[in-house]
Amino acid sequence: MKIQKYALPFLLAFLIFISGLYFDSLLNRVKTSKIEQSVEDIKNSLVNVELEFLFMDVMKEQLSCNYFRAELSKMLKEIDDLMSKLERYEENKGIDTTGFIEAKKSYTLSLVKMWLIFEKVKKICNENYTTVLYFYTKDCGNCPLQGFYLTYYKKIEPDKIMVFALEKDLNLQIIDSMIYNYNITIYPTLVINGKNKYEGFKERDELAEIFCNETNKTLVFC
Amino acid sequence: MDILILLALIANFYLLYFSIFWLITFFENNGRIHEKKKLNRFPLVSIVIPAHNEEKNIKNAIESCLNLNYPKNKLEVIVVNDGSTDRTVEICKSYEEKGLIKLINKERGGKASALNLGLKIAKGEIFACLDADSIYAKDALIKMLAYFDDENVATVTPVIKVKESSNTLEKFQYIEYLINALYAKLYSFLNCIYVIPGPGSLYRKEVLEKLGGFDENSLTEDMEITFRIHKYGFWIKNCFDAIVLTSTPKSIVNLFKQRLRWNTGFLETLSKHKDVLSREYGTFGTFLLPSVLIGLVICLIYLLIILKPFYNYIKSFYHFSKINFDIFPFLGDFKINIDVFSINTLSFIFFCAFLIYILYFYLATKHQNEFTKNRLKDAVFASIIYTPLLSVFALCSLINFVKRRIKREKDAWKK
Repeated sequence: MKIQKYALPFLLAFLIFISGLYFDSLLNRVKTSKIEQSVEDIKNSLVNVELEFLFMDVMKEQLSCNYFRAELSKMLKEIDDLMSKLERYEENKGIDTTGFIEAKKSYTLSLVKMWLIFEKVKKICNENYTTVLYFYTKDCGNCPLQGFYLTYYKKIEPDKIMVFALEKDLNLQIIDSMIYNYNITIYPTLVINGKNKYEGFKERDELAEIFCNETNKTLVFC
Repeated sequence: MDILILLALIANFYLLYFSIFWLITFFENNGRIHEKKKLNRFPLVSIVIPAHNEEKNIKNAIESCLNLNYPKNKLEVIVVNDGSTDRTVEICKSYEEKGLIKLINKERGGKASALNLGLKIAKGEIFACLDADSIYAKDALIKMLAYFDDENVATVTPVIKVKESSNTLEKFQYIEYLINALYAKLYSFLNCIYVIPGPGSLYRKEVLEKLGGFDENSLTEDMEITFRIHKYGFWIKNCFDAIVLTSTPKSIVNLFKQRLRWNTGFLETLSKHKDVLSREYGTFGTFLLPSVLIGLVICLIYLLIILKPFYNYIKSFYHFSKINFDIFPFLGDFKINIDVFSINTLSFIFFCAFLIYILYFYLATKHQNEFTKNRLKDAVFASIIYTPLLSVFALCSLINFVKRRIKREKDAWKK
């Protein structure tokens, strides 16, 4: 038995293997840089809107609701696109996943900021959309289905239901404060329009009822 | 990192290593695949056909023996009727009356016992065993016998091909047998064939006698004898140009039964002859057997990997069932996004494994003049449907092995 006969294939396999790992980390770098780019775009949009708020405040001018409406719908598109990228990244996870959690954290922070802006615009411009803060954890059994129901209703009424999904496990300070503030102990939990808390999993019909009550039955499925 | 990805990496490294190993062996011996050897003398050959209720096949098996291009006075065909209850005896009698074959009747005792009885009666220097559902090609015997010129060679195996390939399952097995034929030849170069197939293999009779014949308690007596031949230090050669056609299971249930027996038989034989896993037995003990064993475990990992997307589909299906399949709101989503985010390292790994498989398919079919576009298509489908099926069977075999072992230990305890 010659050792070379067994060592050479090992060496070759090892080389191919290493190049595979290199390919994986290259792929990951491309993916994370694309996500980072999207996060950056959203951050810029957010800064724009925030500046606009400040400017109006300082100038004591009336807010231009039309301007905000347009900005918000643009941002919604951007964040949806980013979410889809993150989802597909998670589905097709590789070996190297550095940068993913960071990207997800930035995304979630932007989401919280967006929610605040949506709430503010709603008050000032008398908009009639409903915001939903959806608190979930990674390992909660009913959360995927709850998320699916929320997506379902959001798809039916895209202009009237705004869902902001916040993952507790990301350990972000702002999310922890929100959890403390709303005193959330059960997952999933929904907070609608920043006020009304609904704890625990809600079946499809229960969820529809909640939406209808919150909106005085102005939605198509009521 | 996902545990699944880690397992996939290990499995893939294993696959890569062994594929490269055998590929190198292939190119080292490329000129010797169709080794032409000249037969210098014609030894007496006894072909033993064990038969249990084989009325449909026995005629073809006997005819194929009688049609061999080998001197008739040097050929002895013995049918051992293993307690058949159908027309097998009747068919064999008509040949016996013409003095073409010998027919021996015995009570049902299994294939190994039939072979052992045949071994006692056979007069030949070479003992051939032929499953009743198989047939020799005309020149198979002459080509195989030439290998016995080397005194260390105890056994020569032919290339087994699938007799009929009308339904899809048979077509898949056809491909599998073509690829396995190449592997058998490669194993033969390093003397590590681990099963001497029942259809058509030749043995030096004195070796069989020295070993005490076939083990009648083994699930796979052909594999069990292979291990003992290795232990005695003999060579097992494969003749790539001697062809034996055999029948294969036509239904999934029968295929399952066959593979369950093969895999469980392998594990039981290995646990009986644990001592072959040592340096003393060269490539066979230290390389091939461990690789087959790991291969069974690797099957499970691949199954898990395949099951993952399957699990996701079921989950989505469950979610949609909860909204009574109201898919209209989602229609906007159904645009297919193909970008960098759809590339998955796991699917890339799978693609590599697939390419290796196709390469082996190509080499195997090219050397057997069996390469056609239709067969390539079959091979692609086989990799998607048939290979996972075999993995499921391997999993069942592992369970079956453990179950049988526990039962045997319980029985021993009772005694």
